[in-house]
Amino acid sequence: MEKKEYEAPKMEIVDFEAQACLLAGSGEEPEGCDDYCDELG
Amino acid sequence: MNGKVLTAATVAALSCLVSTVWAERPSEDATCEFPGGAYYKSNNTLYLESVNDENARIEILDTTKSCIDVNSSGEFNLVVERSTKLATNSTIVLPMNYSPKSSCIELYDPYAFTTNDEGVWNVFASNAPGNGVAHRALLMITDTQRKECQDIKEIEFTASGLQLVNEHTQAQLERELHNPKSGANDWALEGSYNFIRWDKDHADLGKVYGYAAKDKNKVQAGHFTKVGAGAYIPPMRAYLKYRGQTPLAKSVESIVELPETIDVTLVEEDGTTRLARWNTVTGEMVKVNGWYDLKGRKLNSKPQNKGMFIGNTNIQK
Repeated sequence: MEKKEYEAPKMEIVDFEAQACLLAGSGEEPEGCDDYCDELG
Repeated sequence: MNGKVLTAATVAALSCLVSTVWAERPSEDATCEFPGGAYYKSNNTLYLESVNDENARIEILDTTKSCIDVNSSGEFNLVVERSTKLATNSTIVLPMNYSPKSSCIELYDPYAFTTNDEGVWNVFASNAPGNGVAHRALLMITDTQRKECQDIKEIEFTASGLQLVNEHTQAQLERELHNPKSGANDWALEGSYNFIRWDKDHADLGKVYGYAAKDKNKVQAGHFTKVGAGAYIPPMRAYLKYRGQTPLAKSVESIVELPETIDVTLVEEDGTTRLARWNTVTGEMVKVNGWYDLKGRKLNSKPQNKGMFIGNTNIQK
């Protein structure tokens, strides 16, 4: 059986820009609530 | 069980009970009870509950009306119990004619809704000197500058002319507001005798405005503000709703243009006007204020080292 030399997958650093994305729970506002989300008087 | 734990649990339970008991009600059993309230003949007082409960509602049937034994003047005392103290600005709608007993409170009757020269939306409301009319939603202004007016949870009125509240009543609670610029009734002040919550899939979300009852994020109690998902309103209060019958509603883009905040101009009896003290814009909502790491921890400043962070406009590599 012929031996095949192992080749490690090539790694590439990708330089990218992306739209801001707030992780759930990391912000000051409740999820999905950009406005007032409590009791009305 | 540990005695200290038991004691602490007992104190906590008692504290909870005390906080839910309305101190002003007489100690004896109510003469009659109904959804949302009770009447006590001993002090000729009707108590109505405007509280945070998903099932809260007011229902007044003929049996309730007949239970209330009014005096010769036809008047009775009314106490509206709120779970949150009155902010400077709030709303009210009641199934009877009423007059506040306290000088802390003034009632204003909205009549027009338009934009000013700068394009800022504005509600105009006239002073309703001392009187509220059954089923008519009003703005309620509390002079919270005065110390004795800062912690009002039970609002006392002199009342008369109790009306029925049943499944047909809600239709009577919508107040159309005229827009002099468009010539149409673009908005409505809608009262409710039921608890309402605007969940994220609610059809009216994005078209509803109201007075904040609490300080929350950038919105202060008493501010007039746009309602977001999860907001709610207890019974016997009112909110402003866009009715979608003007050029505003002709395109999706126009809906986006609905105002984030709305000023309120109060017109006094002598014709003088005053902009509400609370009419400051509540601030542009910036979803990301500063920088966060991937675990969601907020950083003091923009990170200098390499790595991935969540920031204002991009992912910093």
